[in-house]
Amino acid sequence: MERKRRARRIICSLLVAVLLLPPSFLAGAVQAGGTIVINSGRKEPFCNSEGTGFYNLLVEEIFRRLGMEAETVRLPSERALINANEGIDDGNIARIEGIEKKYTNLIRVPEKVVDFEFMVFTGGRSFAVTGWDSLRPYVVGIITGWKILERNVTGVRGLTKVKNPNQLFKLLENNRADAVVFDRWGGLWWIRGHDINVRLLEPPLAKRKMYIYMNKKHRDLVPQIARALRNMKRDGTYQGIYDKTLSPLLGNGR
Amino acid sequence: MSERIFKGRIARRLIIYIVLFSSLITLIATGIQLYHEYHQDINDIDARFSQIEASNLQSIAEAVWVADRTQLRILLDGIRELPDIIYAEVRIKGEIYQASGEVKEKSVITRRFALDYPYRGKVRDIGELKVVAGLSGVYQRLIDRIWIILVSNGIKTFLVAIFIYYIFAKLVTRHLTKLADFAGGYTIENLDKPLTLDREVPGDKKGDEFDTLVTAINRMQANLAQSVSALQESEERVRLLLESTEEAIYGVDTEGNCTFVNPACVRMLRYKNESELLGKNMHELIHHTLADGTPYPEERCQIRLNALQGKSCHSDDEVRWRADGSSFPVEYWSHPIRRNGEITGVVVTFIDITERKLALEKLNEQAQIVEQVHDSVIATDMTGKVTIWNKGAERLFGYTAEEMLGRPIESIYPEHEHQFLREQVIAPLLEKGRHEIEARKYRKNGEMFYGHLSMTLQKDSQGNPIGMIGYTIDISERKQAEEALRLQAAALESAANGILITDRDGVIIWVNKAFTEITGYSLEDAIGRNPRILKSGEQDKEFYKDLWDTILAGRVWRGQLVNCRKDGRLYIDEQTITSVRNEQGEITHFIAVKQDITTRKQVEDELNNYRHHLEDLVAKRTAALEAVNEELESFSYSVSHDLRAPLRAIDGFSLALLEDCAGQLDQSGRDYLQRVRNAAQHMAELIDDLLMLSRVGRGEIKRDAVDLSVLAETAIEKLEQQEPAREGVITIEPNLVVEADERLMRIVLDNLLGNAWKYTSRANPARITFGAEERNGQTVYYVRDNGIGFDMRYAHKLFGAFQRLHRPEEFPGTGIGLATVQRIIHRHQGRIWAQSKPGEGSVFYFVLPENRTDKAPA
Repeated sequence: MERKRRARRIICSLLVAVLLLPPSFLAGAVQAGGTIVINSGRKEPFCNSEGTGFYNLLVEEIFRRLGMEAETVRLPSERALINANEGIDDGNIARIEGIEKKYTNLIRVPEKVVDFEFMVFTGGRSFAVTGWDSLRPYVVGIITGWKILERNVTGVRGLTKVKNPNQLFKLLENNRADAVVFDRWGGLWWIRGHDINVRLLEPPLAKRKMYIYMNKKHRDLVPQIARALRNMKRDGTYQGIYDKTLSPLLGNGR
Repeated sequence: MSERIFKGRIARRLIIYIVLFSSLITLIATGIQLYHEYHQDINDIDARFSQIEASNLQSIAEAVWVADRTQLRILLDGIRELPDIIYAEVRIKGEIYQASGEVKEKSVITRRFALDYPYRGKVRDIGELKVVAGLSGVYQRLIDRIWIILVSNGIKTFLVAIFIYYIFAKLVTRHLTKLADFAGGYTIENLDKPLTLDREVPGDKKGDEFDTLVTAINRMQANLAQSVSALQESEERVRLLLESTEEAIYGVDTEGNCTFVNPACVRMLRYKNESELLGKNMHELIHHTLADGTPYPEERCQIRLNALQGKSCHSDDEVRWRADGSSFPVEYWSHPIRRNGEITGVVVTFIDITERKLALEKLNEQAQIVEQVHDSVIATDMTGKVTIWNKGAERLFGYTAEEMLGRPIESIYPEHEHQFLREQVIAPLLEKGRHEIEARKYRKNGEMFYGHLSMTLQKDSQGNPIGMIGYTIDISERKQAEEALRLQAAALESAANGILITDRDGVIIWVNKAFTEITGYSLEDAIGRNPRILKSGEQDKEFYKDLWDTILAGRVWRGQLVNCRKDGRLYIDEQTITSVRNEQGEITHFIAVKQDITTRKQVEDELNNYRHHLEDLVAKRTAALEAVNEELESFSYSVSHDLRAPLRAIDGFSLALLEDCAGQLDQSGRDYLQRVRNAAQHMAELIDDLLMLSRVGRGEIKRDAVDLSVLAETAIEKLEQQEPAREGVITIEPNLVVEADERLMRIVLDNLLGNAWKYTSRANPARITFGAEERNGQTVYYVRDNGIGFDMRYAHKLFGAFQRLHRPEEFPGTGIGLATVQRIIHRHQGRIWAQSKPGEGSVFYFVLPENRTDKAPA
């Protein structure tokens, strides 16, 4: 008799608990059935096919914390945005603030993933980087289409625009440019794979915060993702991944 | 001239036709070729699209996938470099992502390709490639080709035309010229020169179309020569015919002007020669006025009107006018003259029918006479079909001419008469040529009559029978009269009385058989003699004078006279002599009907003797009877009268006993006394009635005008006074006046109405009617009631004395009333009877001698 009463109480409590659960929990539960696909336009060291890049690990951990499986896929930069915007993929990692104006189906997760830093690389030369003007005395190479560079790198001794990092760093290697401007981690990854003398000059010329964007069908997940990321930063998980994937590159470029 | 015609026109036309046809063919062929090439170009463009799909689509999809706009641009430019491709674009989500070239033309072919890319196991639709091919290049190529084709074909056509022209001129045109020259110089005179062409005989010797043509023309020429010869002969024959015929013949053209005229026509119209008519308007000359003098304008001329419609025309009721202004009746025929289907004139033939008209008029007159004859005139042909059926025949037989014309004459006879008709009527007629017969005839309504038929066989000028004419008169009346006369003669002959007929002078012209038997004179003895031969001398001169005066005055003489037979014996002759007058009222004959009454006279005398004896006997017997009757009357009167005294005593003392000694009598005593009184009173009534009956049988009837209506009203008033409570409907017809004994008629009505009153006591309401009605010219008076009535089986007892049909308890009475009524009516020489049914009432009728009655005017 007593056992029956207890069983009934448990069933009622469970029912109330289920009813009181937030909808996002239910959404997460639903999503748990399939893998969340977050794409990225970045290559190494952020994203690789082995799933060991910075973004690979970060994404996996965030969604693991939400009780979901997630996968990070590498796509051409614009294709990544298009797929995320059209809902082909569930989200994109990581982009600067403001792209949702163009890709209106995307919602930014309001917790920074990492900074994108525009760094000066030289073929061994060192000079003080104090801003965009500090490039003026040099022949500078940039990659075509990087708007911030095309806008700010002006009045330099010479400007060469190339199509890809390979061409960019070949400019340094062949002494066809005094300095090239590229992002920190991309540049360091390229240097790691090539046996050339390239120097990274601090500080960055400019810095942009990078965020995760989710397709609006996952609107409910956005705060949870932000919370999970924040928690990861707080509990050192974020730092652990950073150290595992990015920090080792810091030995290059000096 | 002819050379120019052929070289110029035919050749030029040939060239034009060749060029036109060649150009048409060229145009059609060019069109087909261009169409084919256009399709080839379109197919090429399609092939290019397919090539793009096969070669470029994958690369473009990949470039789109990686969002490599530069690469995409290069690829699109590459596509645009392909022939006819003017524009290529990639759209993503409906928006242009990258494009190359531009579309300025209107005529384009557009093809769209979906851009797919496999991603994570699924094919993703990532955009659309649109490629536009312009057709202006295709059109420009076609225009270039048109010019080349047209110019090359033009040159080719020109050269072919020049060649054909040359060949045609050599092979055809020059021979045609020769043919034209030959035909142009054709006359009747040179029909013997054959046509030959200036050309080499073809190697195969079979000849070509020109040889066939030359042969045909030469054959035609030979035929023509023959026809001309035949025509000339025919013309000669026609001329002879026209000149030799007695019929007038002329021809006119479409204007009505004379084109030819034969000598008979000139003669008939009394012109000097044909030149006076040729070229003149024939209507105005000979046909301008009708026979009755009214103008006959050409517009109404039947010859002209019919000719205009291409019709022939015939008439025999017009006249033609001679040169001298006189006219004559003609019969004419006109026929339109046609040449090549068109009417070019009219030929008119006519003959003078003056004599025929006269003969016809005469015939018509005769026909009119026949038609108007009162008696029947019927003509048939030799097959018996009716050809004439005049009004008389219509009247006599009842069939109209329309019904009978053309019908076999046999059809108006019943079938059983047909043999008689053939054997007794037709056969003698055919044998003798004339035949008369009296025979039975039949009207249309089936009525038979006797007709006298006179028949004549109609013959033509050769004496061959051509028809039968019958003249029939109705002789039925005569037949009937003859029959009546025959019957009358037989009746006279066989009459029992002797009949003698004399003329006005008394000469016997006929006697019948009975006359000869009575007188002994035979018919031969009597005829031509005077009735004086019968004179016996028993009658004096006065007697005969009276007789003659009577019959000569036209009156009938009847009388008896003693005549003498041939053998000298006398006999009593009862005669009636009547005079016979003719239509003018003059006495022409006398007829005497005679009867020998000698024997009858003797019997009559004997009978007279017997009658006188009988009358004496009756007078004696009647006197005895009247005496006895008188005694009987006075006896019955005295008995009745004397019986009344003791009765009065019985009734009076019975009443005294009832009134004075009632107290001493018990109820039975009083009852007995009352019965005695009732019996005495009833007997008194019986005696009264018997006295009445006795009285009405005696005494004289005093006839006078009596108003029965007043008597009836008086009787009813008396009855109503006796029973004022009775209600009933009493109806009395007023003013019924008769000539009778008023006292007796009052008794009659008192009794009849009293009975009606009595027997309607149970009817409610009682209805009693007194009135009169006319039956068989007599006035019948009646009294009708709705009382209890009686059974008619006992009607014979109704009027007997003391006879009653109802018990006294029901209806009181003595049974003498109706006996009294009947006696009174009988005394007036009248009649009385009754009709009734139990429960439905009774009616009593009586009739008084008519000449003594009168119904006063109302």
